[in-house]
Amino acid sequence: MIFAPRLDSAIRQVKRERLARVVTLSLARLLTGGGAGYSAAVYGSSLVPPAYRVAVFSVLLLIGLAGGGVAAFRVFRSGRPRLGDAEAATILAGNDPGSANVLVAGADLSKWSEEETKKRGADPELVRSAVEAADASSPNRALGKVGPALSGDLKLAGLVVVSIVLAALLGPSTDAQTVAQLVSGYSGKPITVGNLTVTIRPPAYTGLPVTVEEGGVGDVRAYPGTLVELSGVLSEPVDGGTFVGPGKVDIPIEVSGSGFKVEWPALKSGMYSLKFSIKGVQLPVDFERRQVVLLADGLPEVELLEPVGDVEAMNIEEIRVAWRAADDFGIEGATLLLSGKTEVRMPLKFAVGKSAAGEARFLPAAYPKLGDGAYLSVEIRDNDTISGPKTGVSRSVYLTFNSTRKLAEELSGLEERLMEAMILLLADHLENPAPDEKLLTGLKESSQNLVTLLEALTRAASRAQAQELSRPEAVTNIAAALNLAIEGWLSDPYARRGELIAELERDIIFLDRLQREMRMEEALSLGEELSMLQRDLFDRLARGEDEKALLEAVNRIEKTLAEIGKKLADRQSLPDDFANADATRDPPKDALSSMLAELKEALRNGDRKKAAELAEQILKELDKWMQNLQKAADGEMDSADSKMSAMLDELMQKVSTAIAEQERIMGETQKTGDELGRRAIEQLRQRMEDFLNRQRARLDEISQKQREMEGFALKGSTLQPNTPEWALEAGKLNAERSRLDQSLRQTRAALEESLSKAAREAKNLEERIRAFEEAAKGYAGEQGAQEKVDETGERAAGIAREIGEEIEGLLGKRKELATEKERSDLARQGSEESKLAMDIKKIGEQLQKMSEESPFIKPGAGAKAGEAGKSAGSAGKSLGEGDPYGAVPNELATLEKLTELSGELESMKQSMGSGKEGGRGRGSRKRPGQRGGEGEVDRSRVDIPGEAESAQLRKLREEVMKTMGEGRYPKDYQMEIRRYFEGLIK
Amino acid sequence: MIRRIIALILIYIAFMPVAHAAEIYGVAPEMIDFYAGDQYLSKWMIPEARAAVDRLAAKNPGSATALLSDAHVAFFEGRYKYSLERLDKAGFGGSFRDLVKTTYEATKTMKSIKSANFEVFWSDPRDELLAGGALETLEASREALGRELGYLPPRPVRLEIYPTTADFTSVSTLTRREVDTTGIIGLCKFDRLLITSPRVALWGYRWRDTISHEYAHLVIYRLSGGEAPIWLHEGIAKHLETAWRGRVGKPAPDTLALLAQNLAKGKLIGLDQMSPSIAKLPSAEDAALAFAEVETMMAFLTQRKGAGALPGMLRSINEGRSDRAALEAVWGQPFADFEAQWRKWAEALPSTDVSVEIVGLELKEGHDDAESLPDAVADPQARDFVRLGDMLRTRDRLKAAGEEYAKAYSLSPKSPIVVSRYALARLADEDYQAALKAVDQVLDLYGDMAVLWSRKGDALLALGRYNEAKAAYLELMDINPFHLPGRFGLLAIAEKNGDAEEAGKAREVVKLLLQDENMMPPGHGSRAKE
Repeated sequence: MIFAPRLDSAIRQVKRERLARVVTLSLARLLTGGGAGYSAAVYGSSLVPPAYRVAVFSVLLLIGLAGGGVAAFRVFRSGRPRLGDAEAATILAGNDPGSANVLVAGADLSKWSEEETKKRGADPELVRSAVEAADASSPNRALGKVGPALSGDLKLAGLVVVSIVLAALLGPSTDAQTVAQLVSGYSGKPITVGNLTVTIRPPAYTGLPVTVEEGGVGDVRAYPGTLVELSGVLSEPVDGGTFVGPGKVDIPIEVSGSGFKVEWPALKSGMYSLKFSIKGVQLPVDFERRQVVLLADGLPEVELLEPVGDVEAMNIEEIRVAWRAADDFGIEGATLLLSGKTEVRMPLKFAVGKSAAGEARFLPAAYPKLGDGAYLSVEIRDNDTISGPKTGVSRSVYLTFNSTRKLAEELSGLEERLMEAMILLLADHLENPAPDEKLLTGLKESSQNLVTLLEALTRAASRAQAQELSRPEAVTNIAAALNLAIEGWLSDPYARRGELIAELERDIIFLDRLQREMRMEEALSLGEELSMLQRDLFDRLARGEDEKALLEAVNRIEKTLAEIGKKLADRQSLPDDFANADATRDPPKDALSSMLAELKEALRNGDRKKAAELAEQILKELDKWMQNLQKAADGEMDSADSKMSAMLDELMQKVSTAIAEQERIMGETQKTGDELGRRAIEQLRQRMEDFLNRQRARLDEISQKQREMEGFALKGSTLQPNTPEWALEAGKLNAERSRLDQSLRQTRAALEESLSKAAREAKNLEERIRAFEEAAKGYAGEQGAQEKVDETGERAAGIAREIGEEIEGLLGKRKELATEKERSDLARQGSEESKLAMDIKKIGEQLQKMSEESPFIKPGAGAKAGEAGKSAGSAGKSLGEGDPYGAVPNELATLEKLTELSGELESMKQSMGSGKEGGRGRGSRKRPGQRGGEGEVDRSRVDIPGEAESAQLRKLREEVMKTMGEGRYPKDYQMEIRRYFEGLIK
Repeated sequence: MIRRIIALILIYIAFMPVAHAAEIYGVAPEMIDFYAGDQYLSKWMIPEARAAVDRLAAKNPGSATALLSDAHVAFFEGRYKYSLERLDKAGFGGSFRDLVKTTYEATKTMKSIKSANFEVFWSDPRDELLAGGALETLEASREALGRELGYLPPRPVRLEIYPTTADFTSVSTLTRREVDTTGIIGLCKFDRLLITSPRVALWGYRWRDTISHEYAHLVIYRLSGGEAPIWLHEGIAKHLETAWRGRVGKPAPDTLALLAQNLAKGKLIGLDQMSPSIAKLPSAEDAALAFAEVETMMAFLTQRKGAGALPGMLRSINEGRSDRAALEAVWGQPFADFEAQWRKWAEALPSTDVSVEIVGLELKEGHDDAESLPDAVADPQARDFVRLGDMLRTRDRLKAAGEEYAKAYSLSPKSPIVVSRYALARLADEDYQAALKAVDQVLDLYGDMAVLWSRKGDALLALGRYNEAKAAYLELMDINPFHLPGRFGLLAIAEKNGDAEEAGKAREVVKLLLQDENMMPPGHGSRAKE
């Protein structure tokens, strides 16, 4: 065999091409036939009733396929797809017969082997050369026609493909079903869905049970996260299906024969549908889209029960918080939210459930980073684990945290400044007994500055009083006394220098004492704060707060402990007894510090049990220490105040005795006066008519004199009518005339009513006559006329005086009616009243002395007693003169002043003990927020007669004075007085 | 069991060579020396205790009991470092080790000076000023007490001077409160004498009397075998504390006045109340009264029964008698009789009718002002005026302060605090005669108050009465040798007198004292702590 590569390759190429063309053409014919048949089947079957559709479809499709098959077979057969080498060489050579021979021969000879060549007896060389020649002349490609033409068939096939596509896309939809019917036995009817069962499995957080709804329409209502299972029965079996849920979520349906089941989580609201298929062919389904409705999980609701409104409290006072909350399903967390300068969140304890309630306490002092106030609310979280917990927040209230310590420090600071200013002023006065003008001006300026400071201090003291902080009355008293002294000195700097110096000396000593006490108070306040902080830490440990927060709390306790230690170490600035008390000198600082360090260590190691034990130990140690400090403070205050307090008690007792004594004397005076009055009225009645006639005649005469005066004035007037001067004087005259007329009328009327009133009116009448006389003289102008007016006026006034004197004389005669016994009784009462006056005066002197010794006794406290003594003295004098009517008003005035004094004393007593409760020392102040071991203490103040009571008494006294002066008593006055005083004294 | 052990030890002490190795009542032989050493120590028989412990150590070298005993004895010997090493070697902790360690720390830098019978230790260089005087006082006291009580300690006695109250308190086993309340500044304990330097007190104190007083305690302790009760201890010590300067059995006027006042009021401190220590009484007033009672009792006893009564009583107690029995033995009558006789005698003693004001020891530490607190002034009004004056004075308004002090003085001319303030103001006002007159009126009663001597010295110096001024300043130095103005005064007087040697010495002292600004004089221009 001779190798002819080129020729051989060309021949193989021709053969392949021929085969390809024939096969392609055959297929094109088949496709054309089948495709035409399919298109015809699609359209044809759609035109016939469904019952014939499969038959028509099948026939037309088979016809198409058969036609196509025949045409393909024929093309294949005629196309001779397998060429021989000679045929291929011929086609390769094309129309050139010479070349064709060479190529055909070469192709044949190249297959000859050497043996065959020898057998055939051919010359190998020739054979070789023929082959080589053929190979050399072989073209690269066929020069002749390789096979049948393709273009027409291919175009046709393309058209058929297009028609298939069109039929599939735009043709009647029955094709798929028809195909399905053909392949699976599907009935062709739309699939119906029946016997639907919806199983709802709510998420755990709802706590709701599983529900099954059978025979429903398939709508679903569920909470987010619910697992929904839908199952049912189909009208005929399918082999697959898809659930298309809200949000186009596809979930495969589990199919078993004609039953199906699908499960999906309800996460979105929307519509869902079901799709079914057989052999991947989707079937018509008679099932409308159904609804999935997600139910809303409502926000938890929380109500803040306490505090009911905004609160203003001391920072060492625990704030109680009470709340209740409810949620659809359950509450998982509750937090106390405090928003001040920073935000603090505290977990709250409660029993988990659909509704919850709880209470908590917290100590503002434990959270200094909140600042001076914070909004408080309670935040609740529900247990929704699907879409995340939802929160509900209560209303918020604003808490204002007041600090006793801050107030005390402010007050103390002001006191120190005041003290400094007072010392310097005292020094200036002492060093300059006779200041020149310049120095005096400087002293006055210093005094004014002192007054400004005093005002500031008084204001601060009032604020402190509102917080039950200290005994600000003492400060107020100091301020008042000093103000008075400064005023006095300013009015006469040289004469009253001594008074101011004495006052400054007294007040500096008072203030020094108060400052020491204030520092003791500060230390005690810190101690209370320390106890409260420790108690709070204990509570927080029990609540299980995190380590960081607890360590912060311990740090704060340590800081406060250091602060109190510093204050107690400065013993010279504390009251002596308190400073020398064991609790002050040997505070258990080291023991506490060491326990606190251990506590911190335990917290860091997570040893909560040990931490709690230590916290309790610290609390006990602190309580013990605080009690001792308190005792020391109580002792200090008691020893300082007890003397003054006892003296006040003694004085109050004396005042009560004086009141009782005055009442007794007044009762007797009244009894004697009653009898005398009765007799006087009887006698007067007999002489009344003559007396009245005489007075009426006098009044007539005065009227006459008035007219005469007016006549003189008019005649002697030098005024030009209708000038401003004339108008002025005429106006005056008219006004005075009408006043005099009125006075005359009132005097006449009074004579009928009451002698005392008549006496007063007679006096008034005299004044009116004088005024009219002046007006008439002003109008007259001429000297002669004025003289006549003067003379007439003098006469008229004299008549009025005569009226008054006669009435007074008549009134005075009542005393003369007294019997010997009555005179003796009145004299005795007078002596008793005078003794009472002396006793009251002594009370005043004692009070005055006390006010110089203690800042708790008001400056000028003795003044009221002085007034009472004075009126008692006057009453005694009247009684001594046998005049009960003059005595009773003074006796009442004495009672009034004594009652006021009693109130003042009570007030002073209370101010000494302000901050004292239940009779204990001031140091035993209310310990805010303290729980357990503390009994209820009645903190209401003792009622002190106030302005209203005094006014009531004053009114009563005025009434009595008025009627007594008229020789009678107000109705039931004695009983009224007794009732009033009894109530007051009780 | 304890009785058996004590009996055993007594037997051992009595028949030491015989009972040497005896095993009696279950006590191991090697423990005998341990218990014996302890017993000796309790009676401050230190050489005997040392011998017992050395024997114990020889038998059981390195044993815990030997080390512990050695440490105990060394502590009493003043070998604190060695004692601590022994304790640490044995691994002992606890309060005794704490005490040893504290004592060692407080004394390790101390220097000392010796005389024939005493050794004085101090750590602050300024306290060297006390050393010579201390030795002189102690030797004099030794001689005087040898005469009075018939006992001379066979070996040198230690005196340790502590530079601060804290140091003194830490080695004394007293609490700070006890020290503060009763003003205790000296102690005889662990067979040695301890004092706080008068430097720490605001106005010093009679430190020479104090060391003499403490030395008397040591003698009493040894004479009574440590069995004398506190009242007797304090009574004899107080009775003899001034013996070194030749004054015995003469209670000071303030003591007599205080006793008289309280006898009149019927308020006395019972003898039993004085135990375990007068330092533990609640106030300085109570402590002063207790001292007055017991001091006068001793004075009364020696007056009636002679000087031998006191050592006789102590020896009786050492022989096992109770204090009452011992007293009855020398008195010859029941104790109640003694008490009644003493009361009668005390009531008849001449005393002033002026109320005595007890001014407790005031420390400089924590004292803002250089003057004593006015709390002790009895008259409340005068006290208030003093307070006012102090407020003005501390603000440099001395003239105004003088006005207030004058008011106080007009109310309480016998109050030492009022007088000292008044005199200060008068000195500032250059009214030296008035200052001198005021001070002289109270010095009889309050001769221990340095401030009064200081005022007197200042007034006399200003008046040019140098020799009298010097005498006043020297009295002051006996109370407070660190008082700088007084030292200046002495220097000025030496210069005025042309005594160069004296002036040189005074100048050296001033230089030494000027090292510490806190030594600056109270109320003399340079105000302390400003």
